[in-house]
This record gives sequence, structure tokens and C-alpha cells, in this order.
Amino acid sequence: MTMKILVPVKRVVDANVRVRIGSAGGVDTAGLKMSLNPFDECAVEQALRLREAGVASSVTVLTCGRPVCQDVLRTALAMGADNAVLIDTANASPDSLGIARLLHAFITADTDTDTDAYGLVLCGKQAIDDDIGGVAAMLAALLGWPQALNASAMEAAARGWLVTCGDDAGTATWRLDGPAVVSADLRLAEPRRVTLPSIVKAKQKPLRTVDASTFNVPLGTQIRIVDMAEPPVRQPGIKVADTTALLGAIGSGRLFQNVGA
Amino acid sequence: MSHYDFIVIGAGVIGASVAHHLAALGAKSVLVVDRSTIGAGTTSQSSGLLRTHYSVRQNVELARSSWHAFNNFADYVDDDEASCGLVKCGYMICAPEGDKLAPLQASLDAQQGMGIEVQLLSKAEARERLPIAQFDDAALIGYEPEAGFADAYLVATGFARSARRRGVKIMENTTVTGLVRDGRRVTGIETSAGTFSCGALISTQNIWTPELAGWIGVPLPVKPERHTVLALECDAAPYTFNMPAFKDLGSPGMLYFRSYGGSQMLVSEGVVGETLNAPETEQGDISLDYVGEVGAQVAERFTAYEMAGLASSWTGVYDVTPDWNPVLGPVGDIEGLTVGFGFSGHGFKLSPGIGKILAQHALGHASDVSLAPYSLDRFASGALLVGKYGSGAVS
Repeated sequence: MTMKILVPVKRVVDANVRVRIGSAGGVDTAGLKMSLNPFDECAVEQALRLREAGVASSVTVLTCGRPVCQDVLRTALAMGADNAVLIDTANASPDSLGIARLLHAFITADTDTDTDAYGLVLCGKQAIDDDIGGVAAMLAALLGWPQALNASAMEAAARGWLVTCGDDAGTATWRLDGPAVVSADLRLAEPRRVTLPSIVKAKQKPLRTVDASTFNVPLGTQIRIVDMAEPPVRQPGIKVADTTALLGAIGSGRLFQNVGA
Repeated sequence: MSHYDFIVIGAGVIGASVAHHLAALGAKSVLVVDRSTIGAGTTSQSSGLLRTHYSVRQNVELARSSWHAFNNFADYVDDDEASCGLVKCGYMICAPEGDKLAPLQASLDAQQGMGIEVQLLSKAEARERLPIAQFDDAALIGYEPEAGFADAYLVATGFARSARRRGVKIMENTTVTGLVRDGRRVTGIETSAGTFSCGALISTQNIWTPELAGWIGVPLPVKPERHTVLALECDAAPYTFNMPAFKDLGSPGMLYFRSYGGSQMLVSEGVVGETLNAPETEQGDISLDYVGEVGAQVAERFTAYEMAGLASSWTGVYDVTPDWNPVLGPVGDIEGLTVGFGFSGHGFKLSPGIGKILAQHALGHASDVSLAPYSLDRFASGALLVGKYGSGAVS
């Protein structure tokens, strides 16, 4: 079995940046460090390992966004992806369903009979900016493909994939037949480091831009942000004189009122 | 309203050092206020290099006294448990034929003239100390054994702990919003936690110094400048703790290097960085192209690093003055105010010495090293402290 793997990725503000709300009401990312979404990095790594194991013939990374998002595609190319696609959404901000529809339209349209077909869509389980995690499931539904979310391990099986997924209740291993959508958690594969030669090599790899409007997919959003606010400032702790006062404070519930703030 | 004899704005490595020295020199009532937490601003982003190699003589003096403090840090702050995280690996600097050669020779001569041990190495000797590098183009290689790197955050917290032990009050998460004045005299500060009066105010506000300029109505020439640091990993040529920190005057970016964690290479450019519009210590964007450019420079000197991987990368911010040297001392005819700002990327190396002379000045004592060359007036008089290597953090 040989096929192509598609890894949809997202450009997000770096995990080490403390985000702030800008004057326009949204998160202000001007001049801040941006990165390939860490979950997507794991997906890229897993895709590369599958290609290196001979399961897949090539790995395509794709992102939907403005041209500036090409930088995360270049990072993925430097990691080893074969080619990249930017679906240029210009000034539109599609929601999860809009992205899933774009990916669906891309996969449906990109059936070059000279090359292998996409046999796997592998992406991060969620983006660290909005944490919605909806695209993988929506895309699987649109494609009519089986899905396995939050994967911590996977391997190729005779007719598809064996994927181990974990949640608080335990782990389950699923057999997915045929082409599938799998979303990665951080355990799936530790991303390799980008090397200096690979950065140079990545510049030579094909990166094609497709205008989102060619897919005839609605790019609006059904989500309305009502309000966005910084987390409340955490109040200082209290000092108690002795054990009796400590028990009293615990009993009053005041000790935990700021937890999670 | 509480009163303190001395108030220090800023609990970075400089402010914490001032507080320690004020208390150690006998000040009885000292308050330090910081907008965030101790050492959390630009201090925490320092690469931590320690050397006495400077082309400006006063900096050599300050660096020498500071090195003594780093090298004996527990004794210096009188705390057996204190550590500055010193790795005493030495410092090597090399220049090829060209415009950097004469300044390097002059700086090495000046260091030797001041009694600092500096060795001139042959290419073979340099390679013995730093076997992962090649020195084919090197025309002059200097080596200081009494140098290395340390941890700026540990130093800031070490000084702060010492200050607290000596009775200094440090208020974190407290923002200064303005000054209290009595004519030409500064008599206190207004903060998010109330107003405090003082006999003398010491500002160590680093990239936030423009706020002070606004309060006193005097322009203070300092800009925030962002610099990028890369950690590279190369299994074939690990950069170990016993290999010296290294300055490559022959590279276009005047790169500096040190071991990072005992196997990786920390590398950064020693030239002008990205000027920011506003003081900001948040992580800036680092493009893959930039990594590639710096990586290509690295590979010229460290050939095995041609294949190196990028382990991590981050940005730090310098408070840069027009001549890349700090402003220390009073501001005009304003009484009760001492400033220390504009460390231009070399504040940490000098922090013990600078903390001491700022404390001495605020106390009205004679200072170990004259503040005069560092006066704000130099930008008007033209007596600038420009280093022989031009703009950049070598000075």
C-alpha cells in the first residue's frame, strides 16, 4: 500500500509568549514569536516516520491563512515534508467548519491520477491558540472517512491503520479501514529538530499557493466572540498564625477561591 | 505614608545589586519596587557571559571588580548557600587581518597593562582549548582564564536575598506611576501600592527608563533593542563546559558563543539588533531564514555545525544608549536622584561593580570607579564612550 499523507497545520503564537488583548479586542500578536502548532509538529513527525518506513510516498503540509503563514510551512518542509500548500484565505477568518470544508474541497480536487491518492490526513488534536479541536472530526465527517482522535500511537495495518487513543478513562486501540483522519496528541511522536542543511534545502521544495475562493466554500464564521478578557489577577495568599486558624481558613473555603485564576 | 532613606526602582540584576550594596554599606532603610518579580525582566534573558575584555578602560575596571564578586559569590553576599551558577571556562577572542585587529591588540594590551591575565594563543593552542573550532584565518587570539559565564537570574535573586536578610524591603508586582517632587528635589514615588517618601531615589529601570524621563521632563537617550539567541546541537562536536566562551570578531555578526547545558552551543550576534517601539520583553519572532544566516556564519568557524540542529531559540532585550555604554549618576540639577540605565547588553557582567558605585554615590561616598565618564552630560559634550569595535555589546 502506498499513498500520500496530508498534514494540515496551523500557525499559532508561540507557547512561551504571554498573550495580551490588543486595542482591537482580539489577541495582539504583532511582532511576537509565532510557531508551528506543537500538536501539528507531532503530526508532521509521525507522517515523516510513516514515509521513512515506506508506508507513504510523500508528505504534504497544508495551512489555511494569509501569506505570512508560509513560515510554518517552511518549518515543516525543513523538518522533512516533501511539499507544501498555502490555501490563501486573505482577510477571511474561517471557523473550524470552514477550514474542514476547505480541506475537504482540496482533497477532493487534488486527485492527480499520476500520483498516489491521500490515504491519511494526520493533524494535531487541537491548536494551542483557540483550543477548539474541531477540524479533524468535521473533516472526517465530510470525507466519510473513519477517524481516531487524540492518538498517542499508530501503525499501518493490512487494510488501514491501528491507532491508540487515550483519554482520562484509559486507552483504546482502533482499527481504521481505508483512508482515515487521525489527530495527534503530544505523545504520538517527538518532533525532530530542524537542522541547518534542512533549512537551506527547504527553500528548494515546492510551496504552492491556492486562492481559497477557487473552492467555492463559505469562509465566514458562525462563531461570534462576545467578549475577550485577561484572566483575573490572582489575589495574594493569606498567612495564618496556627493550625486552628488554618483549619478555619480551609473550612471557610477561602483558600481555594482563587484556584484556576 | 511610609518613608525610606533609599528607594530603588527595579529589581533586576542591577537594582538588586544596588539594594545589596546599599545595605552592605550601612543603609538602614531601603525599599525596592518592581513592576513584576525579581529578575523577571531583561535579566532573565541574559546570556550571562563574564569577561573583563572591553575596549573602554572604565568598563575593564568595573568588570574586574565584578569578576571578583562572581568568582567568590557566596563570600561576597555572605551566604554559604548563594551561587551565581558560575562556569569558569575562560574567554577566547579572535580577529583576522582587517579592521578589528588593531582594536583587539590595543584592548589586550590595555588589559595586560591593568594586571589582568591575558594570554596570546597560537592557532594550535586555541584549537587545544576549543577543538570544535578552526582558526585558519585568525591573526590574533587572546584568552582570559578568569572569565566564563554565570546565571543572571541566580545573581539577581542572590543579591535580593542578601538585601532582604539585611533588612531591605522588596515589593514585587508594584508599578511606579510617578514621582513626588519638592522643587528640584525628588522626595518620593507614587505606586500602585501607595505613595512612599524617600531621602534618595535610585532608578535602575532598564528599558522602562523612558517612564522616568517622562516624570522628570528630561530626555534620557535609551532604546529597547531585541536580540536573538540560538541553541544549536551537534552530536559530532558538543560544546562542553570546559571549552571557553568565544568571541569571533571575524564573523559578520561578531558572534559570541558559549556552552549551553554542557553539550549545546549558545550563539548570538554581537551587532545592532531590532529596535522596538516600546519597552517589551515578550518573545519576538525568529525566522528560519535568520537561523539559516547565523547558522552559516557559525559553520564557517565550527565546521561540524554545518549539520547542526536548532535545539531552541529565544529573544532578549537590551537597553541601548547611543554609544552602547551606560549612564550612571545624577541627572542635571535634580536632587536626590541617581540613575543607572543603558547597559547595552553588558549590564550583567558589570552588575556587582555598578551596584556598588551607584550605592556609593547615593550614600554620598566616594565611588570605587569614577562615575564621571558615564555621566549623562557626555551626550551633550560629545565625550562619548564609544568602544573601539564600533556599535555592539563588546564596548
